[in-house]
Amino acid sequence: MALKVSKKKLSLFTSNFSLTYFIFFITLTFVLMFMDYRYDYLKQIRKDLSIVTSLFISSSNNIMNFFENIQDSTKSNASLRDEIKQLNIKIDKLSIENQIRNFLVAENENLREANILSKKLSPKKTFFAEVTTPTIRGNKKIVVINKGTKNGLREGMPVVNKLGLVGQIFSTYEKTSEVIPLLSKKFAVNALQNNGKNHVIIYGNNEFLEIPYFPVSIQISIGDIFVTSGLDNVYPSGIKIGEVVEISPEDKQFNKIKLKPSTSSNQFSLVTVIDY
Amino acid sequence: MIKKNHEVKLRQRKLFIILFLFSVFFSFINLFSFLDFDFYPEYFIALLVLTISSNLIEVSINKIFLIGILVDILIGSILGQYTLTFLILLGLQIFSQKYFVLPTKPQSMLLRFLFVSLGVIIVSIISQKFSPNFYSSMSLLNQLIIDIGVTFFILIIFQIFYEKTYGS
Repeated sequence: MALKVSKKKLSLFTSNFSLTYFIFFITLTFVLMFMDYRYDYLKQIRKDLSIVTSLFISSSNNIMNFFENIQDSTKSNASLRDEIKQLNIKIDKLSIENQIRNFLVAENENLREANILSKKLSPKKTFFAEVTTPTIRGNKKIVVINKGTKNGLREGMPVVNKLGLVGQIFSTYEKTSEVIPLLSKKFAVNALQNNGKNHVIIYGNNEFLEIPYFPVSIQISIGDIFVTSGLDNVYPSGIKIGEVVEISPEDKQFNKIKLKPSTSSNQFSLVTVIDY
Repeated sequence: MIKKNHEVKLRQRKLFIILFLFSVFFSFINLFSFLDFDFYPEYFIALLVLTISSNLIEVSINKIFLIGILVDILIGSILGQYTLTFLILLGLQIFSQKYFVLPTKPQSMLLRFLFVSLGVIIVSIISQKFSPNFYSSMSLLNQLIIDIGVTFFILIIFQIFYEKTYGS
């Protein structure tokens, strides 16, 4: 037997929902829409309620502005970081350029001095050479220069630079030559005190130059300078050799003089070889 | 039907107010400004679909009508735009209950998606007609698709909050 279904249960909507109410409100909404379209009520209502609505709008704008500000600041931060990076690269480039410039200035000064030196030593023939490697070989300090027999260099030629005497060519090869520096134990040079009175022989002693037996009777003081005398016919006269740094008594008649050489193999790169 | 206890009801009322205020604030914010196009998701449709379908607050035609009028005043292009949309959604929800007394989760999600789609379409059609400044940088179809997608996504987020009101 079929169950009797009530009319209420068969209705389109459920029981707690009034269709009449629903249709009434839908109609009311359409009326509102029509009235608003015709008389523009919404604008007026918004004007009247602007205190409330503007509160929401301004709050939203504040939130948005806050995020936009953050976005702007992050963007500007990023662009500033990028700019700093670019500037650092520029600084590095300029620093390299500056180093090259300083090197060129020093090189120019060296060449100028070498030119003056060559004019001073004229009409003697001079050769410009560059020191490639100062090295120690068998307890001897050797300086290797980039000129050899091919350039006309011979053994025994004196080597000078703008500061003074560097040494003497010890052996020559086709393209290079070895120079015995002043401090080598094999080195000896005839020298003259800068007052032009006293002739001595100066020897190398690895660390200093020395005059082993200098008469006590002859006046000498720290800071006095010795130059080549030219008497040995190996070195031209007047080239600075070194400066007195220590005077110690050897015995009753002689003092031992220590000199600091005017040049050091670590200080120069350009030398002049003189065909004397 | 499972009866909600008083505490849950209170929590859900609070959640409704919070989500309503959230919708008001965010309806004025163009979240896609960084992509250089104007796009405002329909937060109120998402909220009302959730409210109607899950009974977030006790809904009646009067309440829905009043909420609709309020939303129209706040963001509507004509008085009655959102009211009509919400009322239609309410009617459809009541109608669907006739066939889905206890819908499964996929069914209820599908229904919500359909409600969201319909709501967005109605609001867009009314905007097209009555909003003189209505302008979109993309075609209406694309706008609708994105609008429906984003609004549904917002509905899911709202629903997560809603489910949390029941506690663990």
